[in-house]
Amino acid sequence: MGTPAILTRGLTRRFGDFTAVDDLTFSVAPGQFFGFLGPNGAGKSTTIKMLTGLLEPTAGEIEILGHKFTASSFDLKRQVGVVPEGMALLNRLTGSEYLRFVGRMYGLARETTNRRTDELLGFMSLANEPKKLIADYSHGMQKKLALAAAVIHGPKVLFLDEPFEGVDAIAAGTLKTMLQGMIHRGATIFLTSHVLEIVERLCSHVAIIHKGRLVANGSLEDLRAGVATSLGESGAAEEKLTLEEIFFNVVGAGAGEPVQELSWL
Amino acid sequence: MAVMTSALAREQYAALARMRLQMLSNSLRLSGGKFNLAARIFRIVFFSTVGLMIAVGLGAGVFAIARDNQLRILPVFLWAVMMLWQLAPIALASFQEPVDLSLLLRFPVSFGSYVLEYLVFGLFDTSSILGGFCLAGIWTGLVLARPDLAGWAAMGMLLFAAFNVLLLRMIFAWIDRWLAQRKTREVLGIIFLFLLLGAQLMNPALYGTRERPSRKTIATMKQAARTAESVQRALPPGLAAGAVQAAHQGSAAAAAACLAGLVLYGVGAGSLLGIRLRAEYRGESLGEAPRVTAKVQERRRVLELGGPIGAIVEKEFRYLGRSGVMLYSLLAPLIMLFVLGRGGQTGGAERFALPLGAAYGFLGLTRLVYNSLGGEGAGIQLYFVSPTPFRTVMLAKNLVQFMLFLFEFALVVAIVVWRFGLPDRQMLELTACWLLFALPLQLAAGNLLSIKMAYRMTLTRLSREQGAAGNGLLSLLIQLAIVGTGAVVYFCLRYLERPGLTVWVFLALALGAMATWLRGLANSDRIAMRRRDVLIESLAKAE
Repeated sequence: MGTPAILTRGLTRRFGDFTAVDDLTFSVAPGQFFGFLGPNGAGKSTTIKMLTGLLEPTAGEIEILGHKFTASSFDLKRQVGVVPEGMALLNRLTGSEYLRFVGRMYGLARETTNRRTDELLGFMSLANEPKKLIADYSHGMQKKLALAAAVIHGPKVLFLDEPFEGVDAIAAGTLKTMLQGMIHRGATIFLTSHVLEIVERLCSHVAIIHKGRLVANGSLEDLRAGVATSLGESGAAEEKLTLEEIFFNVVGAGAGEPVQELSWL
Repeated sequence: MAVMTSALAREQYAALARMRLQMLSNSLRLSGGKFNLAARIFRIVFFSTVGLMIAVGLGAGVFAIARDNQLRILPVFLWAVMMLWQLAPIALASFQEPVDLSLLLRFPVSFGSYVLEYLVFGLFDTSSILGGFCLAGIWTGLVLARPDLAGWAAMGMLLFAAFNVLLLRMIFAWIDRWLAQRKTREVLGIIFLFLLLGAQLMNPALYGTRERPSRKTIATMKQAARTAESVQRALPPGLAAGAVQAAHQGSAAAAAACLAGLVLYGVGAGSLLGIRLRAEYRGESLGEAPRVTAKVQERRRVLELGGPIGAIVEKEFRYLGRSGVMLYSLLAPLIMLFVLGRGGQTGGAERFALPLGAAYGFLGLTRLVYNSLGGEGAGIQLYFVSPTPFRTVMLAKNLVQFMLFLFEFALVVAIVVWRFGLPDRQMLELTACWLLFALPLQLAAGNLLSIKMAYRMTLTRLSREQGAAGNGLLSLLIQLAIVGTGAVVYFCLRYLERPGLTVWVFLALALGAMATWLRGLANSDRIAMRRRDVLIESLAKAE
């Protein structure tokens, strides 16, 4: 195995007495579509913030494309695209103004920025309302624009924090097509999502974080086999295990337990 | 017209009236319903009493002028009524119960019926009731004094009332339309703010100095009053009064012409209302989507600067241009300087008009300089994930602030020269040297506070956000300290009879200020990185 696209060693983040991310060590191979899952408050967004330079780790190391990554690694940042939590949009610009702005912030030549802006807006079906401010975009349009901004400089590694949240089926289809295209061209994608069906369909590898600690990490097949073994199942039953069942089993919440009903509701 | 009186339309009017009655009686069953009804009755009685009292007063006044053959004063009464009719809804807004008639559009209601219902509902608002009482009072006063004018006065008052109803409904329909969309709502808000400020300009316009108005000013004002008098004759209150005056003079043709003029105004207001209601009737979309959906290539550029600095400068100017509130903040001190700065003073205070004006002009830039990241919202994250050092971001912002200050200062100089005359050479030199010290120091302090005490700014509202008080107070104290330093240096050296040294001291301070700014800029990367999670938390989370 060559140099991992993403590597963390003992990554930890504490907020006062609370440890949000605890001693996280994992790697993502180049060209991998990597799903990073966990229940609410598990530490997914904190991890992605540290991996993208938005939050300083309390301890541990991050390597991107074989180089140590810090908030000041400007050359590395040119290779990285991010859709952070909150999308980082500038609401008082139009979509095309924003993309041109982002392109120039990544040091692209004006002509390249203009050409890619037009192509991205067309691809994302955002070109028909050129004067609309981002503040007036629907949530789905904002997600598409945030993704367009994350890829305008052609990153080798892409970090996506909940890219499908609040996105309709058509927009989700556009995003998936684009992401799969990037994987085919050799990019690495690190994605967090609550929509397990999408992760199952897109990602080849999955890691699950729970209460700040990594509780599972591997290819989907490996995870299925591991869970099947722990459940005492094999063969056909193992193949039928969905990511949702794996998730419940690994996180240890809800699987097999009857859901308590609210008699008064 | 036929559809407005068809059996279906009549059924619909009856159903609407019944529905209103049912709503009224059902509201009694709601919690607090009886109290609401009592409040409503009180309101009706209160405003009816007020209306009656005004009507009696107006009637008595009109009776007196008609009896004394002073009908040329009649327009004054009608202007008062029109003001009351059109402005009362603003004061009484909280008492009004808006009725959204667009809910009728899902029924088979004809456009004529829709307009009629819209106008009928308008007849029962407080201002129409007040206005109606007032016109009835005026008519009664006229008829008691001149019974022969009863017919003409009745036509004049009825047409004037109809015009007022149409005008009021038209204004409300259009304001509703503008308030329905964010962009027009902002424009309307800014126009309102500038109108408020503009009203302040009456002071310097009328009283340029503290002296009593000169004969020339009084003559000009009298001439303006005569012009206004002749213009008002062609306006609705003047036309309504003109019809009565012409009838009194026995000129039926002139009276009829005045009434025809009133009808034309009514048709004009009605047409504008019709345009609006037609759009509503057709089911217009008041969504924020632009009307033009064709692909338009945007290639307009504010500046041709390259790289991240150019991108940020361009973005800052776009943000500024789209934020009426920021433009207002930028220009408000200049307007106040213009309003409050009185020329022609004696005592030497005007000698300091330029430095004081420049210092005052800084106030317009306070939020832009001392909270320069406040408008970024979630976009602040982009600066941290992009390969652009934070010092570049701050440098670009400082460039914009510098350009804006130059613009403000140019306007300050223009205002000072116009109001006080050209400043003397020594004061020009002193101000320039003080600015060389003050500007970099302001920018340095602004950069530091922008990172360390950032608060989210809403660029569409004047409201203060959480965290604004601390930043605002500190920024004002810093500005005071900078102005104070200048004053102390100047007055101390003057006291020591070495005023010529002031320029050199300011230049030395300027060198220190420049070094501070450069050092602050170089450190901004480190400080911003250390505080990035707090910055993101305070700017992005609340969105």
